[in-house]
Amino acid sequence: MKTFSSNAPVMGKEQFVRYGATVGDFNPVHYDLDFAKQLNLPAVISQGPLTFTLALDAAIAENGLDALSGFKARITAPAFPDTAMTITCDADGKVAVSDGKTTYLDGELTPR
Amino acid sequence: MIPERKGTVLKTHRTRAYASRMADLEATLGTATAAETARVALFFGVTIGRDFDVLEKMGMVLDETLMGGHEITWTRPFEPDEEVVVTVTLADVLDKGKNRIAVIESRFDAPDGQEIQRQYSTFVHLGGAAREEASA
Repeated sequence: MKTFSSNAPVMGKEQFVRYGATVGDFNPVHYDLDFAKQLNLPAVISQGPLTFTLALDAAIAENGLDALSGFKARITAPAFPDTAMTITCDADGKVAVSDGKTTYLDGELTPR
Repeated sequence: MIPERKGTVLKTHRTRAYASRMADLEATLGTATAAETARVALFFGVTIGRDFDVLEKMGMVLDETLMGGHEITWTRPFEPDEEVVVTVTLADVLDKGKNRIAVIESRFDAPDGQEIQRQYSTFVHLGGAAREEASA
């Protein structure tokens, strides 16, 4: 597996809404600020599978889709809109998504 | 009561890997490889059919539930507009302290039964175990 460190595209509230519409995830915590505040969150949060997809996309960019057959990850923190995240991967296929302070996801790629 | 639900099929659903939704996901990601990524990350099995009824069937309250993990394995990418049969199953459920943890398997097959992709999604219902105990 190739090692890499790359910047993820920054996802804002608009992207959360578009992603939710694509996969059918209409949980208001992803688009309704008042709802998020009721849950003691300072802002709406990203869908976990969206963070997962960003990490997978970075891995596909480095290795090619044909080189992979799976990806497994723990969602370790909610991601807020407009967070600048970096995706890293080591030679064993261990992936992390972080902004330097918070790790949002850690996971492992499965080679084909 | 809850452990007996392990293996229960929560939902079956026929849909398509709509090319339009692949294009939507590609546009959302906006990267050079987004079109390829959209062919494997098009679906989130738990919201297949466009609602969270699989969680509700297990007594998990949406605004008290966190996603703890996600896994996908695929034998091949989805073809644009191909028909897909989705089977969502409760793979595992356990109580840890006051919380209930559920693992949901979503299997995506071609109409001939050939497996295309499998997902495992882990959810943590905060206080879910304590609530079940109190109502027992």
